[in-house]
Parts: sequence; structure tokens; C-alpha cells
Amino acid sequence: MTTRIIELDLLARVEGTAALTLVLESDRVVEAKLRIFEAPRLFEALLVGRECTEAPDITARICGICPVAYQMSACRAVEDALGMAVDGVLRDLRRLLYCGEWIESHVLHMVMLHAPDFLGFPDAPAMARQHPERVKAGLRVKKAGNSVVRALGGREIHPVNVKVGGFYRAPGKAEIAALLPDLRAAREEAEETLSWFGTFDFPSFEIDRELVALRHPSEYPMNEGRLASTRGLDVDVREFNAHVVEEQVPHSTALHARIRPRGSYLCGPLSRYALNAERLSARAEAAAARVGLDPSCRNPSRMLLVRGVEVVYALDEAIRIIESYVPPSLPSIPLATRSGTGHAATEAPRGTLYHRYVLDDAGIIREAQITPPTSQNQRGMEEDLVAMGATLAGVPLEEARARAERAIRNYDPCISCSTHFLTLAFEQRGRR
Amino acid sequence: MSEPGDAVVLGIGQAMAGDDGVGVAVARRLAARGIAARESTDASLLVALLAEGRRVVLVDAVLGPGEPGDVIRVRPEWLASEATPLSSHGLGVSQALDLARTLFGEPAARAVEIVGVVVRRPGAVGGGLSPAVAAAVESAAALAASLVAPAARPRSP
Repeated sequence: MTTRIIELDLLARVEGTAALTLVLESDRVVEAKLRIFEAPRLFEALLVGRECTEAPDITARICGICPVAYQMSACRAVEDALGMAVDGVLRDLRRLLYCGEWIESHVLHMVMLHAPDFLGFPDAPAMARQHPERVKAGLRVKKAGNSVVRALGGREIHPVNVKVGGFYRAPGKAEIAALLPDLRAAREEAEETLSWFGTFDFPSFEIDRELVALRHPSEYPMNEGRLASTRGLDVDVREFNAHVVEEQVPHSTALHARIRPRGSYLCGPLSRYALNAERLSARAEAAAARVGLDPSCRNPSRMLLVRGVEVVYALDEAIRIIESYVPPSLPSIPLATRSGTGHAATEAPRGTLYHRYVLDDAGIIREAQITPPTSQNQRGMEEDLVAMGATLAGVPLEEARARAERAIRNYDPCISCSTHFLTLAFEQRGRR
Repeated sequence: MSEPGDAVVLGIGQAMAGDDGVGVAVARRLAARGIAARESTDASLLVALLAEGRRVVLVDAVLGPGEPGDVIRVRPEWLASEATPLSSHGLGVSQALDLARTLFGEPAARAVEIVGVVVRRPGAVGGGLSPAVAAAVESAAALAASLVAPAARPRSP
């Protein structure tokens, strides 16, 4: 038997913190170790000793792509501890803000990263040379999502207008209605983009894994719901830790999650759709039907289509909320501190994001737990790579790397602390 | 309201990753002085700004020659080409410029000036800049401010 080890430095920019090791024996992958640096653990420690009202702004810093998700889970967990319920139009505004984040995050992934994989292009610029109008349309849809986040959050990156109890400032009716023309145009373009994705060839690989997402009695889940799964889980999110076990694995600083007692599971678009397809708007349902998607889908590569459906839905939902919007009399509800433990889970673009805070009677955070979707999916991503073994074993390194990267890109893992320095290709000394 | 052609500083980086946050620190310093400045953890915003016809002064940490804290003007062609990232969290400047050039033409891609601050590869995660890089924020801010000023024309070094 021959043993071959493939080390893929998948993310050169975060050397040592994100890489994949595949161990092959003959034509079988026997082990896959994916190391992705996980920032939230650092933030758990940073939060201890801080005022509970700071949690939304501090945790928003974890991720530049999904700060709204961190803010929403943080707000709702603190509100749970304080016995507050944010309802009515303030709840609608939060949902609208989340729609904006789903749109911008999903479109960035679909058009800039995922679609080129299906068409044989090495990257988005190469795809743009052949399909410039498709990429421009994607950018316009993303811009519509950005504009929602900017209108409600104050800016599109790390919004600053969200607080425990609501918002610092609620937008006026005219201000928010001004978003409608772009959102309506984006909805049409999102539908056309999805139809284009529907013409792609998808690998036949399917997973047999428990799918976990929030489920709400009447809504496609964003900010609230019960924790549900395709294998019978249906519990209040306060019971998250009774059902999800996080454990250390030797090869990674990140904790890996599993469902007690069954094992790995998957959260994210595929899971949300499997558990909540009937909660979509008629227009999003029709879009899904046009590309042959149904809730039995277990093919990770078809998450491209699911994200496309969720973008149509988020645009539809944003338009619905804005059309019925009546500004609140106050932008937030008052809070009174007390000791307690609060839990919340919301649906980040990449999946269920759980926060738990223990507060003392002055409202100071004494314990914090943040379980992001990527750590929940990490074990499943490794299992996918093992399952793909037969297709990776006999091929040259570069092709194996490309296939493994495509498998991981299906999930759009949150590599939130990946650094972004420019790397120069040759030496050129400058001066101050 | 901003108009096409208006210049904006775009600081790129992750404030919680040590010196990688220097671009963001520069953008915040300039914003506090009333200069149009945005920040982002990835380069997708660069494409959006160029699509609007904005002139962009991009500030980012640079791995390259020189000592930590050196402030340099970077030509776009100096940037190492990048592989497609694994997730949407990693869209790079080089790819964003390539995309802008493809979609909006060479003039759009040339409407970018890049100010780099040399850093060592961050080894630890956490807020705060190293002393040498923190000391360079002001000179990087001054250079970026001079490039957004109306008198400054888009040009490469």
C-alpha cells in the first residue's frame, strides 16, 4: 500500500492558519484535516468584563462580510438575558437589515467565487471577460443589498446603528422608500442570474448528513426560530448546548461541533432550504422550481442555486417590509439591566450563529460563547473531502488542489480573521 | 452626495489582525478629519467604487521590501497575482483591479492610487498596531490625503 500526503496551502495569505492536509492510501483518502483560523474564540475572551450593550458592536468586528449576523445574535442573546422582546416595526427593521446582508454576502460568493468553478474559469475576472453583463448584473444586485445595510446600519461595513433594544436611529419613510426602485430592479436581475446558474452542470456528489437550521412557524428564518434538523431535532435555541457538542481536535485551534449523539451536521443555505422551503415567498418558490430545486437537495455544489433562491427571497422580503413600513415612535425600547443568562441563534448567510452571555446584575458580561457556522460545518467539510477521495487520489497535485478548493468553496467558510495584506511580486524599495 | 470622479480613501484590512489593520487605521484618521474615507476587510468595495466612477486612494498593509513602517506608493502591476480565494472573505486587491479593468475598462482600473505600509506577516491575532507601523499611520494618512486632494490627478508613480 502506498501512502501519499497532499499538503495544500490553500490560503497563502494566512500561512499556518488555514490549510488542508489530505492523507491518501492507494486510491483512498483516509484523513482530511482542514485548518481554518477561528476568530470568535478570541472575542469570547475580549467580551468578558465588558458592558452587555457593547456586545453587538464588539462582535460585529469578527467578520467584515457578515457583521449584521453577529450584531443580531448578540442583541437577541443580551435581550434574552434582560427579558426584553423587540417586536413590531423594530423587529421588521432588523429583518430588513438581515435581508441586506444576505443579499450582499450571497451575491459576492455566487458571482465572484462560485460561478467560475462551474464554467471552468480560474477566477471572476476571467469569467467577466466572457460574461461581462452577468457579472455587472451581480454587482448591481450586491449594491442593492449594500444600500439596505447602509440605510439601516449607517454604513455597509461594520454597521454602527444597531443596539440592544433596537436602533440608535430609525429611518424615515421616504428615506427607506427610496431604496425600492433599485431593489425591484435587483429582484429581476437576481431571478435572471439564478436562471443562468440553472444552466450549469453540477457534480452528482451528494451528502448524507443531518441538516440543521432555525425553523419559524411562519417565516423563512433569519432572526428567530427553533433549532431544527432533518433528523428530528426541534428544540428551543436555549437548549443549543444540550444538543451541540463542541470539542477540541488536535490539528486545529478551532473547536469542531457535532450533534449529540449523532455526529457531524451541516448548517447554512442547504439546511435552511431543506427545513423551510415552504416558508419562501411565492416568487422565490417559483424561482426555485425554474431551476429544478426542491427541499430534498443534498448536493453541496447546488448551494449555488439555493443561495440564488435566498437572494430572490431576501429582495422580495425587503420590498415587502419597506412597502408596509411605518416609522416607529421610538427607535429602540428601554433596557433595564439585571443578572441572567441569554441565548440566541440567528441565520447568518453561512448558517446558524449561536451566542450565549452570562450577565451579572450590573449588566457586565461574565461569560460569552459564540458558535459560528463555519466551526459547525468544519467536520462536515473534512468528511466531504474524505468522501471525494477516489476522485482526488489518482490526479496530479494541481488538479487535486482545484477539486478540493471547489469542494470547500461550496460552503463559503467564514475565514473572518484572514489578513489582507498586499503581496508584492518583485522587490521595489520605496521611500517615506 | 458623492459624485462620479470624487476621490475616496479606501482602507483595507482587518483591525483585529494586528498590523493588517493599518489601512483601516489610516482611513479612520482621515475620516475624522472630514476626508471621504471608507473601510473594508476585502476588496469587493473597490470594484463597487470604481463602478461608480470614483477615484480611489487605497491604503493597505504591504508584505514586501523595506522595513515595517515604510510608506510606499505601490504600482498595481507590482501586486502578486492571487489565486481565487476559498471564501468570499478573501477577495484581493489584485483580483478586484483585474475585474474592474475587465468590466469597466482601463481608465477605471487606473483611477486607483495605492499607498502601502510595509508590515511583517502578522503572527498573532489581536487589536493594535506594532509601534513601527503605528508610527507610520500619520505619514500614510498625509500621503493619502495629498492624493485625494482635487489638485492631485490620477497617475501612477
